[in-house]
Amino acid sequence: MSYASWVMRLVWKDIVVELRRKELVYASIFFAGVVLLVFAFSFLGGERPTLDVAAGVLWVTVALTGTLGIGRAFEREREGDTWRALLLSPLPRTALYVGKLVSLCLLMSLVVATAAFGVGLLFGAPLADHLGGIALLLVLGVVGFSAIASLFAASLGRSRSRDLLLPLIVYPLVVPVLIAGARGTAGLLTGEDPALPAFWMRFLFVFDLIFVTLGLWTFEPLAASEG
Amino acid sequence: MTTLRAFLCTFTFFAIMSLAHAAPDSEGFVPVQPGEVLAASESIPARNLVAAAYGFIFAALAVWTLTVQVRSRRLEAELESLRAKLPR
Amino acid sequence: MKLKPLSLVLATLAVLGLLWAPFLIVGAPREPTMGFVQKIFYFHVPCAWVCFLSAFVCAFGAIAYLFRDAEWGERLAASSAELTVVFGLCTLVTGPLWARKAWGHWWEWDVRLTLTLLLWMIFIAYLFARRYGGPGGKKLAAGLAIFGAANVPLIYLSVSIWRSIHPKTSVVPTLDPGMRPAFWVSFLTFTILYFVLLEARVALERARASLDALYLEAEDRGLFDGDPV
Repeated sequence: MSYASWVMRLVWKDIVVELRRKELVYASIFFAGVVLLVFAFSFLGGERPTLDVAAGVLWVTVALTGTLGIGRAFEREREGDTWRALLLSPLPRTALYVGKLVSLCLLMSLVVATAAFGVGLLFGAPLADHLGGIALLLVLGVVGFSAIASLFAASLGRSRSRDLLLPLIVYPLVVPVLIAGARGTAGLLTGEDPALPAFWMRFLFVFDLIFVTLGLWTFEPLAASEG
Repeated sequence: MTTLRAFLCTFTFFAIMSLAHAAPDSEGFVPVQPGEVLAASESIPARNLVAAAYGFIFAALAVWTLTVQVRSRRLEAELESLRAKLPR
Repeated sequence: MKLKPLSLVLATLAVLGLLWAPFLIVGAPREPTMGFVQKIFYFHVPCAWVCFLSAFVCAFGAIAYLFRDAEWGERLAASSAELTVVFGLCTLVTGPLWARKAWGHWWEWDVRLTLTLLLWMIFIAYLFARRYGGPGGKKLAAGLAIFGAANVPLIYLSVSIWRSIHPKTSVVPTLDPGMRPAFWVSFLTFTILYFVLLEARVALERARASLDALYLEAEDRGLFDGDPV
């Protein structure tokens, strides 16, 4: 079997598992809604927040929901000891990483779409006017975020404090994604400088490339520590 | 896999290069003129700030060195007691 | 702590430098616009330099550990990470003290400030991961160090486009001749000090490794057989 078909098969496995339990999708979407509501309660009531704030809220929601979903996805693999089984299989190790990355990106895209809808609704941000640009920014951001989060979630192993460590490790590393995403979205929404959103998209693209490459490179030694 | 990695590395390199060229010039930001805001901050004498800065560095380094000393002494003691227990 | 002859020489140099530097700094000419507070610069910049140097030493050790399974790499990385946190803290504390006077407020989301703060946080996360990461904690921490070092140019780029008011690094080569000796003496002192402290910290890590080996040996010989575990 070719590399691509291994990856496809791993992604399909994750989709089937998720279709049966629907746990991750529902919980993540609900969590994104709760986070947005918390933001809405703390910002609204007075004046309508600026577009900058709406862009920031969208990206913070993506980050918060992402760690929750990705942490849970690996937790589920551990409960059934399926992650160990995958590591013992003769699959190329990097295929495991790419497969997990793709399926987590799919999950996060669903959640992010909901979050964007919620931001448009609660904060009155005109997201629909720049749908293409914002979708591209979000997809690039989701890939960069998942590249880091899935690698570290996979290598957290059986350590008891992994729920504590995952956000602690992931958030400082994904700050460039958050800056680029929030600045790019704000740039699109306010339309001040047309060159800026394009720059941030390219920035996110390069970020994704670097961290997916690094992920492929370090996945083997990091995942091999899993007992 | 090696080909894929080599490809990704090359691609990444060129992408970074393109980004470095495309980066908007950050020289355009004007630094805050120190003289302009000095009046508002005149309340704290500079001498105290400098003393606090140097004091902090020395204190931080001293504390850290002390903790290393304490840790290594504790370790030595543990090593010694274990060596004594081990029948040679 | 036993010191090797070379580290003894370096340690003496560092102590002499630390004693000498304050005299040079006080003697250096005053800067007209910033006044006396500019003297923080002589220790702030070397601290920041050592912080970044130590972060890259840590990433180097982490690569050696992850890909060559080199135990020395792990020891080097862990020691260097701790020093990154210490010198990063010094940089982050002295910077705002200067900024309070020069800019009028303690903190500004400027590129170098943000970068140093994030780097510092990444290395605190390193220490957490190594200590609480369980059996795979060391590998996890090493991965974090590599990712953190790779992140430095990206954080720098992203924040520099966002905003920048910090004095540029070109301040150093264009330094007034009267200020140079004070700056370079403290720069060298801090660099030497870093290696002295690193050596001491690595020695501690080495002792810990030999203690672990000794415990294993003791267990093999049945020393703990009667002990309740």
